[in-house]
Amino acid sequence: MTNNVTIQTKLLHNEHKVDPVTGAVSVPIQHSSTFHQHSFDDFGEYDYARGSNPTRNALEEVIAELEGGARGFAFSSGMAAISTAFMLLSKGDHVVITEDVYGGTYRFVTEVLPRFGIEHSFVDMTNTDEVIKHIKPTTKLIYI
Amino acid sequence: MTPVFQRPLDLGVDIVLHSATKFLGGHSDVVAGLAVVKDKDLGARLAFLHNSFGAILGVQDSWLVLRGLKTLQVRMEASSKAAETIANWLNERNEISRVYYPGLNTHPGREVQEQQSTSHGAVLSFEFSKREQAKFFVENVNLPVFAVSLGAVESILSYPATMSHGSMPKEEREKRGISDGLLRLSVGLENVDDLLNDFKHALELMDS
Repeated sequence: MTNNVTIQTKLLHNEHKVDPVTGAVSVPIQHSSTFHQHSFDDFGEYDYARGSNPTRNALEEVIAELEGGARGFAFSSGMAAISTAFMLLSKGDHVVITEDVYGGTYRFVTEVLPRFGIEHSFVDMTNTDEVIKHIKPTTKLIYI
Repeated sequence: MTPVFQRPLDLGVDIVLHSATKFLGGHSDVVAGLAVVKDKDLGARLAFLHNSFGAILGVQDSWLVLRGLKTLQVRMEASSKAAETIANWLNERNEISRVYYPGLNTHPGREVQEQQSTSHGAVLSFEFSKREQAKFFVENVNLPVFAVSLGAVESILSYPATMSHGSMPKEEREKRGISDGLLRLSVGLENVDDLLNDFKHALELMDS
């Protein structure tokens, strides 16, 4: 529907510009923490609000479209997004990370990840030779 | 940068991470984070962690970010245009030893930045040779708020040494060029001439 317009227009005219039930032009805030299931066997789109809820879902779909991605996720803070993404790693994995990084990310990578056996190397990310030099067989993530 | 100026997934990365507290929300009234992936399988793995970790965004805050996004383009364009003007102006001042902004010809990363983005952005930093000068400047400007964070309708002046990089040891911080005389400015939506007059006043006081 909105594939052929610029980002400027997509900010306003996206999948959530009009509420399909009421026609509201602002996304409704759905406070419910849980959702009644009409069928014993087949649950609806929403069951418990931690997993998904319509308001957060709208934001996640909008940001996914703006970034040209397949799926978006909304977290309680930037650090929650960053630290959850780092949880994709496992013990023994290695991270190559830019030395020009936010202090909160620096703290997480240097003080939390090592406790889970995840190593890191800080590099000057403006120098690609430097980045390549630090990639090891165990490197699973390059953090720009 | 935000997707208005740069789309990292198009440049080949797998995950984009945002502090939506900054430009996406844009009004200093919400703390939020966003992640976007291009690959469906990676999306399923992150969805599992999102749900198991449970650090999800509440619905009121989700709405605030949705609301902020509607004006993202005009906010980014206005703030970046003003940032460009301010960076060039600061660069001419003798009181300031260095200005960091990718729109300046002197910035070593300018060419790469321009290949990957459509603007130089709304954030810059500048350095005084002494901590006392940075302190004097902060104490004598009236318009920007002096605070942690960036990317808002009001200009935000911050002191990286004790704010964004307060959790980094001094030695590591200095190795990265974040000196005791460095200030960061996130340009908001004020009239740029009002901001320049405010800065000029503080610098002239410093000179006298």
